[in-house]
Amino acid sequence: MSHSRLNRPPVTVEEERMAERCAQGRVIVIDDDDDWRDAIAGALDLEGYAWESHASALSFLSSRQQPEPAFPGPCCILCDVRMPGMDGLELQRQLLTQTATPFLLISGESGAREAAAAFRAGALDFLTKPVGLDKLLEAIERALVVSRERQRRAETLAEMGRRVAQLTPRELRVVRLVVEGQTNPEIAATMNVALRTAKLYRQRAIEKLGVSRLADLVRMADALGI
Amino acid sequence: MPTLAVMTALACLALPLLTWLALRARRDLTVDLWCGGGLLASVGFFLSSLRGQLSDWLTLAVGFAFLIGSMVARAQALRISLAMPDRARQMVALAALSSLAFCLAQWLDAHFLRGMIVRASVGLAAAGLSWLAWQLSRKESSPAAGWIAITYALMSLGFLALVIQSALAADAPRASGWSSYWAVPLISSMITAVVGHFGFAAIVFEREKRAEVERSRRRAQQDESRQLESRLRQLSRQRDLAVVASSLGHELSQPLAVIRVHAEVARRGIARDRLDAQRLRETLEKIAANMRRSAQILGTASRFIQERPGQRRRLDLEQAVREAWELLEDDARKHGVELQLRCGDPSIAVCMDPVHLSLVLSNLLRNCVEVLAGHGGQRRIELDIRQQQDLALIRIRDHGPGLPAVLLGQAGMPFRTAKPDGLGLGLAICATLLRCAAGGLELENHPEAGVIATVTLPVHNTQLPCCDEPFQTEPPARDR
Repeated sequence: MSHSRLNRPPVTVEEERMAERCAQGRVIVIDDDDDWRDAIAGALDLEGYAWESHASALSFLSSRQQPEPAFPGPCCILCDVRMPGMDGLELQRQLLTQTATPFLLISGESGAREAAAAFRAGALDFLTKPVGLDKLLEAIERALVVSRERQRRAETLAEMGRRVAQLTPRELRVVRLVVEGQTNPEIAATMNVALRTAKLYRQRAIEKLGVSRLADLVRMADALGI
Repeated sequence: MPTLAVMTALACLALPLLTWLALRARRDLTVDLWCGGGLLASVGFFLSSLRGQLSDWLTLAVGFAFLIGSMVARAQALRISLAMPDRARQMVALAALSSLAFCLAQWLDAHFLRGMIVRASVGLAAAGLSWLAWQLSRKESSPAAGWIAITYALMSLGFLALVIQSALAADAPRASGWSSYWAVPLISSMITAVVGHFGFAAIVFEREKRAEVERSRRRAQQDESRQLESRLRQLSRQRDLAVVASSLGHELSQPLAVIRVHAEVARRGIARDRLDAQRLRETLEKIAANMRRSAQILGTASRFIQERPGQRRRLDLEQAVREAWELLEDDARKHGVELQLRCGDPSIAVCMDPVHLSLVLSNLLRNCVEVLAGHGGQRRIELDIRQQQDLALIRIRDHGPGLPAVLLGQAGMPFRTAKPDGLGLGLAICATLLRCAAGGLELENHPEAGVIATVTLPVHNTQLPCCDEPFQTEPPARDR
């Protein structure tokens, strides 16, 4: 949910508190039952999480169009299965391609078929109402761990992307050849430059990318698909 | 010989009368014909016995006509019993033909021919009667009819033997007047009269007994089918209850889940001293509110489950709608929802439990109010009551957003709800209640905006009393 994250530090005390909560985790509750959303919000407040709630899948989807203030931190979706209009499974299918936010489904009854469909589509957990608060919070915490991990990985990737973008075309070419396993003289021969020049390019590329070892360079090139 | 003829005549008079008297209580056309036939034969024999004292025209010709007539009457009685096609005219024509032939022979003074005509026609008639009686005995597996068939067969054989004998001895000189020839017809007539009447009485009694057996069998069958019907009704009720129970479980899981979360929040908050008194009070209030919600769900269900036999009354639809609306009016006014009521006919009445009808109407109207309250369009409900042949139609249209297509087909099923906090039970109950009153419920989207709910109920005929027994579609046919 990077689109809705503020890229500015918190200003007011409230924002400060909100940022703190967001850092612990943000839960998006989607359920057609007002009382249920209210109860979950109370529980999340108490546990120090940030939350937002939506009465239907559609209202959630439309809220994603315009970013709202939220601070960095892990995030997960807790969604009811049976809802008028678009149901939870349909929403999950739609979000599958758009976001890496972990999805938790909760249902009023234990539908084995629904549970299977939910897990197949990558749901992190499938809970049935009435669910114990301990179990619910546990599931949320697990989802947030996954989210944190995914965010961290995405951030690393983005950072690496930024660094790679700083390379000149020639430096990039040298990196590619290094990853292919060529030695400096071979690189110089391939690129038809002096050995010293090839060494210089290689040195600059390693500096820009901020890696210290050859192995790190190879792993990074792999992750970015260079 | 004349004595024998008189005796036969007397037997033929007494037996039919006795039979007729014995069967008086059960008489029908066949009994009348059979006994009447006996009386005709009696007249015929009586006339014959006067032979010699009166003219042959009267004694023999008329006597023969009566005898043949009696056989036609009996044949007709048997044919009716056998449910065979009516051939009365043809048989009478045949009898008339043979009587005419007899008269012709008499006129020509051809004594031999006259005798042959009598023997042949009586013999053939007896054969016919025997065949009919045999058919009857096979059809009704009646031994009495079998005996009748045998005696008539013997009679027919006797007469036909006489025909052969007289044909062989045609040249022999014969004395006119009484001869030993008369013994055969008279004695066989006597026997057939006795066996025929007792047999016929027996047939009637047998038939009655069979009818009695059949009646009691049918009654037993009806009892059984009535039992089956009541069991079916019970089953369908159980199924309805199962529907209610399953949707009840589903509906209750929602507030119970909420209560559980609130309760655990309170427990955790207190344990960690992070819940001030204000928050705690709010949480407890929310728990109480959800308890009330559960109780409401249970109340709706138990109102539905409660058996209410014999509560049907004649209800005026317009009045019922107004009463149902009155209960909702405050809520509707708060949301600015108005009801537009149109009644085409002066007054349409239905026969239904007033509580049921009010439940159905208020449920549907409340749905409309709730939909319109959360909707930006026209806040108007249009309700019109019409009569279409034997059906009263109540058409309720709101100007809300309409129902999703998925829900339209499933409306009336439990679990299906488009409301954020809907019971999902309302329409299921409405549909069941209407079904009990032989009515129905249909939902469709209006092409422009809103939902049209159409309730159908059979119009109550003012001439008839209101049926008290629910589910009963037709009264069981009872025997007298």
